[in-house]
Amino acid sequence: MTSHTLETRREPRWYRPGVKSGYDAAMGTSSIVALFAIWFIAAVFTNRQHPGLVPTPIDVAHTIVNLTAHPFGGHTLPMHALSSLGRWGLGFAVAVVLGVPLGILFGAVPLVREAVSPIFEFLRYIPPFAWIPPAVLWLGSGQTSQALIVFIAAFPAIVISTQVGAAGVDPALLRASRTLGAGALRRLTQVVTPVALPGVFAGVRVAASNGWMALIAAELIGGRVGVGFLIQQGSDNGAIDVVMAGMVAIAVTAAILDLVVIALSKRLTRWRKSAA
Amino acid sequence: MPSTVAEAAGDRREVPEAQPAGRFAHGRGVGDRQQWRRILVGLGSFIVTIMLWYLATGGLHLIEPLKLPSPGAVAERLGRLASHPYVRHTLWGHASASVEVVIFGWLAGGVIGAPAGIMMAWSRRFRAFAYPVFHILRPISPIAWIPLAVTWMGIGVSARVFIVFIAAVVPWVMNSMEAVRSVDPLLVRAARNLGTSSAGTLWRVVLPSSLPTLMGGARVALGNAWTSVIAAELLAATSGLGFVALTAANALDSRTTFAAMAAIGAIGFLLSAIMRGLAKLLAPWAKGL
Repeated sequence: MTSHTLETRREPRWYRPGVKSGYDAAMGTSSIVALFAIWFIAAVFTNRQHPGLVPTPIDVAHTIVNLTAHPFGGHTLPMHALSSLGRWGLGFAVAVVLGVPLGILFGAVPLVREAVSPIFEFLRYIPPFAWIPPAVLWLGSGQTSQALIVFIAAFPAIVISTQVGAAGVDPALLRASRTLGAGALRRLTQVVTPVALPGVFAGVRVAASNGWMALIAAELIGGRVGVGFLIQQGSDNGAIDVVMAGMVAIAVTAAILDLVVIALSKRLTRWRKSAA
Repeated sequence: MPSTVAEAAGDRREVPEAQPAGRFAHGRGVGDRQQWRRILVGLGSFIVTIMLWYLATGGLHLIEPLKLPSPGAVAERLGRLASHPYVRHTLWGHASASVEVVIFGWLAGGVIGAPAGIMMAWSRRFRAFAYPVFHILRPISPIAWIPLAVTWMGIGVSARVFIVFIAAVVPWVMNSMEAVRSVDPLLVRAARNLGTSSAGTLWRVVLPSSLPTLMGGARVALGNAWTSVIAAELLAATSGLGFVALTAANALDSRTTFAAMAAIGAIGFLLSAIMRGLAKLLAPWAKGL
């Protein structure tokens, strides 16, 4: 099933929108224009009865610009975003540093995998968000507990994809390199790593986005800074335009993180013809 | 640029499923003996984990009960919650509140997402029109919708169903598209050639052969739904297992928090098992589900 899921996650070439023909481009543009038009009209209509409940796209754009200069919830929008990114980076980095070696260990030593994976599997059925309450118990609702949530959300995807990648190495290759005199370290860096890397990156990509999502949830629940905190503050103060501006920032940051992971993966697997 | 963004939105909410141990190392034909060994090792590791947990908490008191209660205390609390209400409901009441929201949101996601995905794969015109909208809304994580949903709908059931819907609809759409697209074009052409209408081909050729992938999407969607309902309950609920876990944590009642988490894990496991069974029942010709 894993290999299958990993396969289907890649976006097939046939439905990348809007690049191949003028027809697709025209349809795509008109659909997005229609989306914004419907939003705008809906906002104008609801504003007659409930002012502020649905801000127009223009209001939201205006708020985004405003928030870059004027703080809301103690900080400007870029500062909130940077603060969130810092905690995301911490949790994510720990997940990679611990997850990749563990995944390689699982992939290389069947006994370890057989012993640990049932526990691991069971824990995976507990969604990362469910760890927020115990994280609050352990560390309060501060920055460390939020980084812990990022770690918990990112870790399994990294371990599993590394394991699958490492176990997918052809044993003949390993034996061959061993016969030719390569030591364990050399086999790891020059045989296992290149084969496993694309799979690892598929997991890293999932992990990056899972971690970001979990961080937002943790920030909604507690904290004093961050984009999740910003939209919660907006919601508490009835400032829907701030909520929507924050949502845009969350989505844009998620997209940027994803692009960075893809760029990194392409760069590190350049030798591959169809890099993920 | 658009092509990179399209890649950026690859179906990233799915976490890859862990592979049953041994399949990669030993190929498909894993012998019975090996299977038994695996079960025994797995069982042993479970027992060792519980023992370690017990030693660290109840046995040697290395961790204070506030941080991590002993397994016995959690089991005892689970039993208590099953019969005594906690914040108005028993464990069953809270669990059914969570599951109800999941089912509604998941079904809504399927009713809207599966046809939309199928149509997007089947008709180029519909795809050109609908995909870009889906594409720009999709990076907004379901979690980020929670404050908005709460402001618009309050902390009732509808806000939670909305969040679950947002989380479930993406895998529904993506896998339905993928499912239809992966059908052998030869089959479609043959059916058309033999005089089947477009709708008939879709119904009698495309749907049956894409059912396994569709079921896979349904399972991922249900997993996402279960995940997101917990997040929604942390913020916008007065019942449900996520609500219980956080309320108890805020009251420094660690036993109830961990009991709720155990229930969350068990239900997550059950939902996944049910979907696997359903996939086998509905699409027995599928492999690898």
